[in-house]
Parts: sequence; C-alpha cells; structure tokens
Amino acid sequence: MSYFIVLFLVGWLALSVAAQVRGQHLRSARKILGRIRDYDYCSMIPSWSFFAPNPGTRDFQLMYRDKLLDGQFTVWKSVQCLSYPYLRFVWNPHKRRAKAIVDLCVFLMGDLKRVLEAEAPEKAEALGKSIYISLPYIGLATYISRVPHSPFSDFTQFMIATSYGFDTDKPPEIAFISPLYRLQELASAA
Amino acid sequence: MTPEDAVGIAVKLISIGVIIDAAEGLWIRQEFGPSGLFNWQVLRTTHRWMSRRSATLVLDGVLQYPNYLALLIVEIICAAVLLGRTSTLLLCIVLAVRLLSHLRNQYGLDGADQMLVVVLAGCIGWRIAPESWAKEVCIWFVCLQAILSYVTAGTAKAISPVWRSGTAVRDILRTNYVGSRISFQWLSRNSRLSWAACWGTILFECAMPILIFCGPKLCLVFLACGVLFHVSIAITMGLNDFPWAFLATYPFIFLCSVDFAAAIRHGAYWVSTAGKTVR
Repeated sequence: MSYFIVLFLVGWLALSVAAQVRGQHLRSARKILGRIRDYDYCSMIPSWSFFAPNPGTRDFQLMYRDKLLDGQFTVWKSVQCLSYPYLRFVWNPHKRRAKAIVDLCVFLMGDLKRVLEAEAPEKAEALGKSIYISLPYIGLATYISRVPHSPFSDFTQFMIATSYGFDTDKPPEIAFISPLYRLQELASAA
Repeated sequence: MTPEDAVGIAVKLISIGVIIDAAEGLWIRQEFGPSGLFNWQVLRTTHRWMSRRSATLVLDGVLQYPNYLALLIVEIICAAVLLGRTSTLLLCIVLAVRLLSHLRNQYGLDGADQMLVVVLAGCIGWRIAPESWAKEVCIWFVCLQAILSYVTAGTAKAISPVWRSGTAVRDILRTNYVGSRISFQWLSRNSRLSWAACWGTILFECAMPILIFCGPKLCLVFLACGVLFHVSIAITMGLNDFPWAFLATYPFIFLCSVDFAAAIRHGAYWVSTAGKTVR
C-alpha cells in the first residue's frame, strides 16, 4: 500500500514539474507530456504560471445581435457578468462564470491564431472549418442562443470584443464575429 | 506542530474553501442547466469517450442538471462534517466530487481548484499510508507542489518584460474580470506602487525555497508574507478561493522546513562525529 501511494504521488509530482516547462526546450518531452495531458480528464496536472508571462490585461466582451424576420438587425447587446465588489473577497459566485467566458474566448482566439498562421491555404481552410465544431465556439454559440432574444428573430450572431476595462481612454476592438445561425436549430441540436 | 496537527489544520482550511466553492456553485445553479455556460449537453462533447453509450449512462446520471447540484450539496455536507472531525471516507468523497466537477466543467477552472485536489490527495495519502516513511512522502508531496507553484509563477514573471517593467499589476487590475476601478486608479496615479507590487510579487514567489530551507524562523516569515499576499489578492482581485487552497499547504511547508533543518543538523552532527572518530 505504501509503495503504491508513494509511486502515485511521485509520478504526479514528476508530471507536474514537467508540465511547467515552457518555450521551445525539450520539444519531444513536451510532445509526450501533451499526449499524457490528453488523458488528464480531471485536470490533475497543474499549470502554475499565474498571470505570467503574459497576463490577461484586457476584458473580453461577449455581445450578440438578432436578425429580425423583416431582415433588420437589432443593436449589439452585451452579456453582463455580475459581481459584488465589496463582498467578493469572501463571496464571489460570478467569478467562475466570468472565468468560463474568458477561457472560451481565449481558446477560440487561439484556434483563430492557428488558422491565420497556417502556411498552406488548404490547411487554413480545414482549420477554419474546424473552428465551428470546436468546444469554445459551440459553447459560446449555445450559450448565446439561450439568452433572451427578440420574439421576432430567427437568427442570431455573437461578437467577441476586447476592451481595456476601467481604462476608458483606449477604444475597444473587435476580435471575432460569428456567422448568423438559426436559433431553433442550435437549441434543438443541443 | 505534529503531522496530525498539520493535516488537521489543512483539512479545516480546505473544508472552508470547498464549502464556499460549492455554495457559490449552487448560487449560480442556472449556469449548470440547459441555458447556462456549463451546459452538460455541450460539455459532454469535450472527450469522445464521454459520448459513448456506456459512459453516458453513468455520467448523465451524476453530472446532468439538476443531479449535479446534488453532488454539490453532498460536498458541502461532507466538508461541514470535516470541520468538526477528520474522516478519510469524507475526504475521499470530497476528492471524488471535485474530480467529477473537473471532468464536467472543463473550462472556468483555476489554480486554486488544482491546489485543493493536491492537498486533499496529500491528506488522504497521509491518513491511509500504513508506514511512517510513506506518510512523510505525502507531506513532502504537498510541500513540493506548493514550492513548484510559487517558483514557477515567480520565474514566469521574472522573465516577462511586462512584469519586469512594473506595469503588469496595474494592467491586470484594470480588467472587470479580476480588477477594480479603485485599485486601478490608485496604481495609475502611483506608478512606483505598481512597480513595487510587481517586483514584490516576483521576489516573494522566487525567494520561497530559500526562505523555507533556511530554517523554521525564516519559513515563518515566508508564511506570514504568504498570508498577506493571498488575502490582499482576494480583496483586490476577488479570487476568494486562493487563500483557502494555498494556505492549506502552509502547515505542510512548515513541517518540511522543520524536518529539513533537523536533517541538516543531524547531517552536520554526523559529519563532525565521523571526523572526530577518524582523528
């Protein structure tokens, strides 16, 4: 029993150490680790580089608009994240929701970056199509399809804009606009 | 402090963290439903095996809304009991629920979630290990994971031009996600303070192993700074789960520091005795 516990914990620690290696070093080792991470379904191998080396210094604004039955579009509406500013050091339930939106946007941006950096046009096209069946896209599209919409709309689309939060001197930028998708179709598919 | 005390304190700290986290999950319960961000019908597509019929039967029963909320309630009850008395079975249940939550909610997790799992595993290992050397390994496992977390975060910041320039803390605090208007405006007016916050974080995180392995007194200095560090992060950034998860590793860190100092003394004594015998 003791040997089993020790082997398990030492193995876990060794994988945790290996997972912290960044950059271009030990490429083959990182490849093996990547394969192991594919089987880390419960996120047990940690990534400890909190807010470094490139901290998130922008907010992701998730917005959506509907296409009405007469072909007109509604104005862009923002998905709000609530917060209790004076209590959040002990009670911050909306933190997880905000983190989920940030994670989905970051993953989607990563996928888009790979499309833009693809050298061969065929590869870029294939990667571009795969975005629409990726977890971040489906997650955001499904979520947006369930927020309140105009009763006279049958299509919707979402936009990810980046802003500088409380620093209002800098203007927000558009990072991604999804194609229009039918509200009922996605709802029934999900 | 005995290892029993250390494990007892750690269990109480993680229990508080678990209760808050699970209660927050219940508070935003709609997000786990069909119209929420953590919609199980979407999340089950994360891994192909999760959509297989056999897996679906089991996972749907446990992780589908509203069944998942029952798991959170079980977690709260177990953690509340753990505040009064330490039980291996209850620790195992809490660990199992947390791992199932990680499996279900593949995004929205943070370092505190992972550290809670590390501490829970260390505590369970310590309680079920029959031999003392294996118990010792469990304590060192939690301590080394904590050291790894601080040193990795410290070095990643030390090599980052944004952190070295002293603007990172100010820029992080300008976001709605983890920032606050007051902190951002304050740091914008006092660039030296922002610089000090960046370099203070880098030095604190990188100096951790030195402080721990230079004796229990310096270790206590580190632990006091760590409490201030995590509490200030919770206040300014709203990351309220980090103090519970990371402070739960501190009893283990202190024990390892005492052990290490004793081993050094023992080694020095052995060397000096061996030297006298040879002479």
